[in-house]
Amino acid sequence: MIVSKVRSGTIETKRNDRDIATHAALNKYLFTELQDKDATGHAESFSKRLEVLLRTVRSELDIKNNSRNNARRRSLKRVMLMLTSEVIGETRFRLTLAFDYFDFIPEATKAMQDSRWWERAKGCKNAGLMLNESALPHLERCLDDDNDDVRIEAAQAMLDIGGVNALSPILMRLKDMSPWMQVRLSKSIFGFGEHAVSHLVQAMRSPYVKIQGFCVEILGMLGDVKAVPTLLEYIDYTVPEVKHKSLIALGKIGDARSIPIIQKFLHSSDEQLRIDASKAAGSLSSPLLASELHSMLVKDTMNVKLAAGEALSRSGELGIKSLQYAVNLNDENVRMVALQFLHEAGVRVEASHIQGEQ
Amino acid sequence: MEFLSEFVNVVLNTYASFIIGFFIFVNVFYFSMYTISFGAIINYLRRHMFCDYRVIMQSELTPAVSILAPAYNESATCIESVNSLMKLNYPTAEVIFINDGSKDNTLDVVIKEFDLVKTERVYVQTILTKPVRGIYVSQKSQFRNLIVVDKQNGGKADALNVGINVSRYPLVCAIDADSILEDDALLKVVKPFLDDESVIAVGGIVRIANGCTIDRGRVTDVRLSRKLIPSFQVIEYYRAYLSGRMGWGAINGLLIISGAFGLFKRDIVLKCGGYKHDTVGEDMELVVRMHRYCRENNIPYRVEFVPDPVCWTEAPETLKILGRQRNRWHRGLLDTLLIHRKMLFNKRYGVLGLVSVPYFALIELFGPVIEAIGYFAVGIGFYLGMVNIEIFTLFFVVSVIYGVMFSVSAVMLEEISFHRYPRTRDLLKLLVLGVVENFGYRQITVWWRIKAFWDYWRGVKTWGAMTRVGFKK
Repeated sequence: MIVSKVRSGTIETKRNDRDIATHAALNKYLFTELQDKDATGHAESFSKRLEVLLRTVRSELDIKNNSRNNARRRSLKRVMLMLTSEVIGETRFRLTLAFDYFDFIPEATKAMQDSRWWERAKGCKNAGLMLNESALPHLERCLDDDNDDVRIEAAQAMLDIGGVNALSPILMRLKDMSPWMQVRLSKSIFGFGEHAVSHLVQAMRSPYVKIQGFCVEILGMLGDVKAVPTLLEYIDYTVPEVKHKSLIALGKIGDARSIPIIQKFLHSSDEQLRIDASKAAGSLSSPLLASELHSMLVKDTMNVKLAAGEALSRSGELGIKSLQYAVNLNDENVRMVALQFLHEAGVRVEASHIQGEQ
Repeated sequence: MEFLSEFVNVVLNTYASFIIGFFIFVNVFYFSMYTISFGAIINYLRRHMFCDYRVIMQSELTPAVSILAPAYNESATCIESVNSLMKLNYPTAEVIFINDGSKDNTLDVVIKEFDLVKTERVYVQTILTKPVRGIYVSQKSQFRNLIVVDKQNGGKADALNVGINVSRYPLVCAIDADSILEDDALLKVVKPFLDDESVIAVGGIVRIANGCTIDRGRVTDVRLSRKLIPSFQVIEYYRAYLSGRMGWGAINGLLIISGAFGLFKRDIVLKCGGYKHDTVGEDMELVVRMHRYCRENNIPYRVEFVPDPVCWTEAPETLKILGRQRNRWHRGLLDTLLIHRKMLFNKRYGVLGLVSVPYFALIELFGPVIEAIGYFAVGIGFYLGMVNIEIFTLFFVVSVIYGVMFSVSAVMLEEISFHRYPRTRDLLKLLVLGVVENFGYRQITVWWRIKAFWDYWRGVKTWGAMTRVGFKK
């Protein structure tokens, strides 16, 4: 959308001939095809030729003693920032060069020191869009900002510029993470895929519970077995909040090495840990945990019964048999839970006898 | 006789001084609240620049929401309501439609339309409710997130409590079955929960849909109603939400989250015991109880307000129906303040006990009584020739100008920030109505609110039938 507007010269509604000329020059710079080598075979002339095109944009931008120079410059920056989300590959590279050429990066880093939080956040965001490594030290300082939006924009920008390698430094530097920051950063981290695992494992050394919890949760969602040893190692030493998340993560990863630890937490004195261990057992779908789950279904609290019932319904034939057996027990609550999950598993239960549909 | 005249004169003069003092106090308070609201809206808009709702939509970390839609005799509109709720933009949500013992065929209609079957799902009665007759789920995969609960009639609060018991997710969203939500409504109201983990409840702006065009459960064309009564209510809603609740939210003193649309942390609602079913102001009462619970247990918390227009509702179009609604609202306010009278001027409850509750008691609850006595006193004063015409005219003009100023400011605030009425004609009409409402409409609403005291005294607990005309399609 923005690209077509730049190409057609209609990007700004309030424009004059100079604006149109500036945007036309930008269009030429971004979208003119250049060969790797010129006619004489010199490779370096590619960047030189790009610079020639950039000079054309500058000549349109800076006119001697013109009062609109600054306004035109701001307009050009706005258009270039809008383009960042629309272009890829070589065009994106050219755009990054142009930010540097027009000295827009110092403007962004200066904004990061502004007294108004929204200006600082904007500075961080723009620095991220400009993809220039020189902004990284400034962004790192912004990770300690008092304002959550500034910290989020700084972390996001660092991930955009530094890629997956910036992940563990960011997480080790942060002291706290709001759920919004977690939502924002997780998007980029999922984009890194399995490459993020080692960095998340490294960041689990953070002394802050929020950071540890975030790493554990994302590791579970990434589902990479490489994270299992670390999760198993940490689970006994962390606070309950991280323990809960670790159990869920181990369940999601679904590695058989987790079975003993899940088995251990099925007997925990903390009700929530028993529920989480049941959920993890359900995700693992292992028949090895069926007998423990059955005993929880029969003897435990209602909330644990529900979690154990659900886990049994996912634990294969043994789990289903266990639920079918529970239907005939005298305890009304056990019977109800068993019926619910048999029904959800698509197993028909009739009056006094049970008949599997599968 | 001379003594009587002297006595009346002293009484009227004293009351006039009181009224002037009250007037100054109220307007200074409104002005302060407006200033706070203005700052809060600007801050909201600034934060909005850094929020992309698509990120919330796509994230696995976004907390799941259970939407509770209680219905009583809604066979004509229930299909459209459920369909519209199922289409809301949100990553993980379940819709719990609660048939509160309807006497019409609401349940049959829903069962047939969504191909429902009765399940063996366990009903854990964490909050005590009227018996549940059955829980239904759909056999169609596209409606796998729909749960229909059939229960014995027990009122809206009881139906919502059943929904809370059945819900599985950490956030519960209570809505009126006839509300129309914007596509991104849930994404917008969940944002404060993401910004701050201590947030326990969030309310959103409810807008009046009379005059707007509704297509397949969506507001497609925003217009002001041609009728006078709904249009007056548009101004009232602007004042209440943009100048009022936004400011209350900013100082963490918000006492009301509209029953038409609110998002709550389920665990706190459960700890508070859910909705109270023997009050007509159950929405306000729950919010006050949540505040109280957190304060008394030293739990850090916030109750937030989102100024984005997220929910549309049909406003009464006749004075009779509007009168019933306002009467009910005022009875609800009176009941809630009586239940929680312990909080009044109690510093243990912080801003709530020292500002919010006193404001609602003195200005919102007794304001109409003070105003009505003022009208009465002026009448007597004129009759006895004791009114100084110049001072009266000055007071009258100043009070009208102040009223108009606040109405106009609220309209301007909406126009600057969210700009939902695209037609200049509609905006101008709103500004004119901000003046006109002071002559007649305001006095009628004062009467309804005073009558509510009498009805409360008589023990009236009914909602009063809310006949709805239906949306323009």
